[in-house]
Amino acid sequence: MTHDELQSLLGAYALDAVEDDEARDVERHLRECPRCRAEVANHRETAALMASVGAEAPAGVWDRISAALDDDPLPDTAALAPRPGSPRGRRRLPMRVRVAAALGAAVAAAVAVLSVATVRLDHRVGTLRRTILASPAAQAATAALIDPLHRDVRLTSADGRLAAQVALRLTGEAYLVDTDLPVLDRGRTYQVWGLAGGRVVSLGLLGATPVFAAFRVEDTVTQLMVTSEPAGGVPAPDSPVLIQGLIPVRA
Amino acid sequence: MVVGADVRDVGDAALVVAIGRWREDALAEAYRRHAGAVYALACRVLSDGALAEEVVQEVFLRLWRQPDRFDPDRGSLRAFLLAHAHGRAIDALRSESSRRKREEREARSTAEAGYDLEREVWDLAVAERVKDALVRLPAEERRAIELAYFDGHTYREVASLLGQPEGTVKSRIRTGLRRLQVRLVTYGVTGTGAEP
Repeated sequence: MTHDELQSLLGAYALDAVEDDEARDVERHLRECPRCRAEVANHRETAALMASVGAEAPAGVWDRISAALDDDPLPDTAALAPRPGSPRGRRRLPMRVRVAAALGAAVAAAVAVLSVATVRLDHRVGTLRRTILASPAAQAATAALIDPLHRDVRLTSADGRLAAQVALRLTGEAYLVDTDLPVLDRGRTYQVWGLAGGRVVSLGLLGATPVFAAFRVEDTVTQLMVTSEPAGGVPAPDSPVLIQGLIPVRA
Repeated sequence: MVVGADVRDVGDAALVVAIGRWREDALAEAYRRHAGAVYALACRVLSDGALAEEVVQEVFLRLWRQPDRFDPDRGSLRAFLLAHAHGRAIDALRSESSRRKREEREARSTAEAGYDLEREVWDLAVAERVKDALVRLPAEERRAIELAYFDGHTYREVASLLGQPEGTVKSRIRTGLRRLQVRLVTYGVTGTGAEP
């Protein structure tokens, strides 16, 4: 499978909606591609938010889990902590007692390492946002959104059924941050146009799936428009304008 | 977390470290925070409370046995647990023995079309925003995501259910998820209950 083919599977893969052989191919690829790993992690966060309804865990399940712990071998924590000899009962002692009962400087050293790791982990919880926005395109678009000097350009269709939001920074960097535009068929692309001094100029191609797409807007441009064109784009708009909107004047 | 600290006061990542030190109270706290969502997802996929309870048990026992499989650099604990739960639920669903149940369930779910987020929610504000983001997705993307995630279909099955090309369904799922993500970020929803 090519990288593009693998990438196209990432959404379905994150939802366990691929065939077993495809899942194996994706997993092999994820081991060596941090970018695709980040994308899958993002999809899983999004899926988790969709699933985060329904409050109470069923009664009785915790009791079964707790009972199972008693018969359980030690947890697999070789990387995190030393393994004491006797598993049963030890787990329920307070940490302080266990440390005192354990022998040797090796244990103390391991505990020190653990404390450092713990501080690091705590810190990471606070920076969860960074993890979720790991994809570079999402990061750039979000940076534009949180920039207090950015301008929001609202684009809508004539019938009001399609809409999009563009975040435009003072530097001219623009990001399509939110849109209802549907995914286009193979061989098509969205193209964004600017109206500048009575002329329509191409500002770039947004691709078939325009979420997060980036383009540049010169100062002379007063209005944005989006059309659907053959892949590769066209020099002048050839199709009806799908959505358009005026750029608000600078505050 | 420091030794002896109250597990209720720490974030999820520290909780997992404590679980790695065999602190059952830390596992209980992780259960308190996330088991409801795990159970709700398993129920929704399996339409079977008893099977869903087994999934919950399996998910938290694995967290106990292999806490180091959770890497806070790769996402939240909630997402990690739900991904495991979803995988286990799908395995159960796709196994031979549950085929009959699935057929019954499909008959039922056609009667219940439409989005049901009316249940009790762990965080009403977040759930409201998620719901809003979902209903604003293009309908065909939302349908593809729901059929895959909540009904446990592969994208190929979704394609044949909806009579659409497989490639189209694949990209609708992926784009829909990205759209949802950026909307949720725009709404300020970025976490999945990691904080206590």
